Amino acid sequence: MFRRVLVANRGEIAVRIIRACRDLGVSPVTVHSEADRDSLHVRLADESFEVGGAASRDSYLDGERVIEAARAMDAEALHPGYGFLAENGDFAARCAERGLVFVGPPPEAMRRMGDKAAAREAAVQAGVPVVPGSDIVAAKDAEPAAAGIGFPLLIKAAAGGGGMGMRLVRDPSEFSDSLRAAQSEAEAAFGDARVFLERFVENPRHVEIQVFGDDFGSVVHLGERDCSIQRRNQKLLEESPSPAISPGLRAEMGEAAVRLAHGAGYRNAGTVEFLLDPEGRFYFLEMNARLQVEHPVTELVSGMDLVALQLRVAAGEPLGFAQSEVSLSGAAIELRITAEDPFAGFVPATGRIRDFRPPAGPGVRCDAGIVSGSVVSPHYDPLLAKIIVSGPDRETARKRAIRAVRETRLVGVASTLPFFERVLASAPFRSGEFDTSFVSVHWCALSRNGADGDSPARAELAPLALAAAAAELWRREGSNSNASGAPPSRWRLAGVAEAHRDRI
Amino acid sequence: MRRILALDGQELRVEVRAEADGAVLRVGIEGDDGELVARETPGGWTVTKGRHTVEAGVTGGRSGELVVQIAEHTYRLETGRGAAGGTRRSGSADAGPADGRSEVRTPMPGKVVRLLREEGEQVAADDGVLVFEAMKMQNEIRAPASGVIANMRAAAGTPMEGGELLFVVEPVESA
Repeated sequence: MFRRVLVANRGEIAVRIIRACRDLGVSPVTVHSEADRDSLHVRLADESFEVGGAASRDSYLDGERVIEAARAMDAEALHPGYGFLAENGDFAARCAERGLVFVGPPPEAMRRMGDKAAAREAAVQAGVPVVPGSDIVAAKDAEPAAAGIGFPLLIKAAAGGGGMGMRLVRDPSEFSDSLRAAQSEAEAAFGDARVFLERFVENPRHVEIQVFGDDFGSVVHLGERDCSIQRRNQKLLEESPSPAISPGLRAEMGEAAVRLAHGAGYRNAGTVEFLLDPEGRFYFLEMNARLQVEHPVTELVSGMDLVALQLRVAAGEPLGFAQSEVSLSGAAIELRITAEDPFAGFVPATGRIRDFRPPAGPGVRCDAGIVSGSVVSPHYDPLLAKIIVSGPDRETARKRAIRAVRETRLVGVASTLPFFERVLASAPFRSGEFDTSFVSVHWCALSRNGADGDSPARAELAPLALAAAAAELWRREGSNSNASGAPPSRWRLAGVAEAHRDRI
Repeated sequence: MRRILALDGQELRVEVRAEADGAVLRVGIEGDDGELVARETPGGWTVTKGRHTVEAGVTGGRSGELVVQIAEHTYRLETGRGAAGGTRRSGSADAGPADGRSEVRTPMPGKVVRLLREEGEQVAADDGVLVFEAMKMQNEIRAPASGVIANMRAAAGTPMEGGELLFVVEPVESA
């Protein structure tokens, strides 16, 4: 095992990796930006190196500075976490050249999976189902190609992104008109009229398989995570097992993911993402060549520490167990607490966290990157903490999740906590019958529910809210001018005395 | 201390008295019989009324406003002298200058993904105007007020710094 590992990240994931290092008896060191001097990951690490300014590109994304920091602090390995440098094959290769072990897959596997077309090709080679589609089609060949793929289908711009030049066609008779429209839109938007076709998977769930490989040719899977509660492809809540998956389908999807990882020469932790349609057909979406935000869900149903396993495998140890020894039990749900206001279109919120009290108790884990007093700056991802709950079954986990959300105190910035309270209590979530459209279909109504000022509970608590506001005004005015005539609090007097003592 | 606070447009007189050591405040509210007791905690106050004790988180909102959070409920209280007006119910962005124009700026460094509306188009308050991406998160930036979009500075694919002007919403004469 390594003696010292550089954690090249920040926030909750840096804290998570530091904890795994400690559990293995490894010395964790880290890097930070100017804005993060006082952040939790810096406080918990043995040493931390300031690599640059607040903007990510000047600090956490500056591979050269990060490698220099690793050398300056004598780290033997580097764990990139997720985001930042985690899926940068060139960076991983540079680490290897400089004698630093990159905790992740080999650079070639990372590059291959990072390229959408190459990843799809790898899936086809491994016999993993992909969404039926075409290469770039000329207008004259498009109609037969469309018939082969089947309807409904999407016409997508080759140079596209963000939905520009994209057309959904349900009826074969509308195909040629839509093709012309998509081509001219693509030409106008990107100066490139080339398009390709893809079957449109209706009402899909997002289900992903955790895989793990070692240097000795072993690859296993650790079951699935259902990430269908998402907003614009950003996951908000993940759970395992998926309410939509039978043991047979789990085995089938797991084997497909393992075949793909094997074929790609994959090692360490990875995730194979699938779309799952209501008939139980699944299609390869992409492979994430790194640790996922939602890895704790798998940890709680498998009983494994995935980050420790990553470090072990990177240090050259074998996985040490076979697929048949993987035993999944119970249910787990993760909630991503982000600094976003769910009642204002999820607009990011910034500011100082005046008080943070994480939830606790049976079946509740909280991976947080913040403490009371932390500043949420506009420079980074708004993920503050993850609440992960588990129980013997989904319903127990769901009730624990509601309990955990209610117990959590987070004052100072708007967060997604109220979003989860409403989603977890809603009938469609309870039933387990939903797809990736959940948030766009249900959140509007859920957000209005009880937030309209008419709810009896809200009205009953109004005098207490008024009293709190009045008390706050008293405090603020008392501390500025003491105009209220009340003596200042003895705590404050003690604080003043303390400050003077330091000066003497 | 006596003050007037406005909640949901309704004005109420409150009175605060401190216990001798200042650690406990007694609060009386007009029209509410019985006394409430407030004790300071990090980030706010605990408030007791009879057998009922709650934790309230208190943060400053816009100037002249306090935001109180109790369980899943959020209360916005107007505290300034302007509390007498008591009717302003503004949307998501800062109220514009006196001429009613509202400037909308980037919340943080990021990139405009696409425009949902164009310059010159009429919008209602809360209509999505563009999609902005920061740290892999896409968010709809909405119109703070109804009006016409003027001075659209945003263009799809353009990286922007935090606080840069995206667009301006100008009031329509008849509105």
